[in-house]
Amino acid sequence: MEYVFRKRLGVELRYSLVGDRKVLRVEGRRFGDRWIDCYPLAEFSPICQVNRMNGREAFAKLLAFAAVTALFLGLTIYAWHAQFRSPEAEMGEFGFLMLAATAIFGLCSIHPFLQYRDARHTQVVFNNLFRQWTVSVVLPWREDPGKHPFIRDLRNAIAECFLLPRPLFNTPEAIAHLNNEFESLHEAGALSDEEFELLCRRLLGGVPLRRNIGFVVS
Amino acid sequence: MTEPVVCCRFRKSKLTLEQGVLRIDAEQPTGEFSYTLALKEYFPFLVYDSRVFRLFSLTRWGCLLLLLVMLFATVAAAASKNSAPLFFTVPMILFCVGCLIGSFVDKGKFTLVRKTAFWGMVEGDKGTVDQFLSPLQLSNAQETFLVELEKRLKEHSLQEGKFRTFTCGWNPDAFDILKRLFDEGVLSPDEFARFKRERIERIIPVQE
Repeated sequence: MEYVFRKRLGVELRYSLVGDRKVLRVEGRRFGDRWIDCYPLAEFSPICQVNRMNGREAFAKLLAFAAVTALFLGLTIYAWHAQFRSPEAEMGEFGFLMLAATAIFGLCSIHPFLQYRDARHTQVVFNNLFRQWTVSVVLPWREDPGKHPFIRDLRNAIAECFLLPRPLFNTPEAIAHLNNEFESLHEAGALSDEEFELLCRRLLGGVPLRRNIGFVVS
Repeated sequence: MTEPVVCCRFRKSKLTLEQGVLRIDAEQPTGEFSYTLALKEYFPFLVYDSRVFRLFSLTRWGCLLLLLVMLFATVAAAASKNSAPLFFTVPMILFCVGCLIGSFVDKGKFTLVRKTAFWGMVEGDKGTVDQFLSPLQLSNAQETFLVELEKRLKEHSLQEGKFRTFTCGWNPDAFDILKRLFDEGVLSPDEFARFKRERIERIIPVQE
């Protein structure tokens, strides 16, 4: 499955699952720049975080520039209107100056607009279980990651192959925790009797831990 | 069976694929040096990175935009006073200069543009990337070499084995995570059972 995040005159990110659905390949393109990154899914947790970036700072800049542009546009209209009503007031030159200022501030507002457009997105962040890394998938603003087909597919693929570090079974609590897990799986029918016995033997070295039912069991 | 030795030149370095090893002979202003990278240490996929610095192209388009704006301004100025050349000449000159620089850059005579491309391999344990400089447009021989390199990385990589040795299905958190995904509706009941089963099978030895 493949998902492409594309912005006109901006970044293009192509996410795909390759290598028997065990690797996330990210192919990026921005103007002339191109890059390819590959991430092994076995290292990532399928429990993801969602960041919604609203681009507030860029929007404030855009608003400020738009306000100044609107001010000069208003002055231009006013000057030309005054010139039209009474040409002897000689407001034409002033109007032209205001038009130039409008054009300059209008051009200046392009950059904050692009910044705002790029900053406004939804990020789905997957944490690495072994290293201090994250991988993020970019979605359009206000997209619901829970319903997005690629995110569902990606989480499904991670759930299939993710691995966790081996826990330290040097405390009785840790052993009891895992034993409870096996018991619940046994009760749910996921494990047969033989498999359950085998797991307990491997975990406890031959002594299956019994549930405490009110008195000590040897 | 021994693998054939394959070699190829990428920019100023010569890459040679030997038995489980990538040998790099590089030339640098400071001198020549060579080193080897063991393919088993790397994640079996290649990564790519290219950066193209396009200042002059942007200058050209920017000047064109300014020219269009000034064209309207000139018409407005000509209507009131005869000061048109002032508003038109400067952006016109800028546009011409932008076009000239752009055309030099395109022809490759004037190399103020930074064009770099790297192919690289991600080191499995550390996550660092070993890169080698490459041209933006690959020749057929270079493409064939990269395909061969990726194939050999897959053959020699120990990453899968390493995962198996330092991790397993013993971690109870794995079951919690799967249960959570099942509750969220990401996993169907069949998938939930299958994934749980696979984790249990890592603990129980596979019956042969």
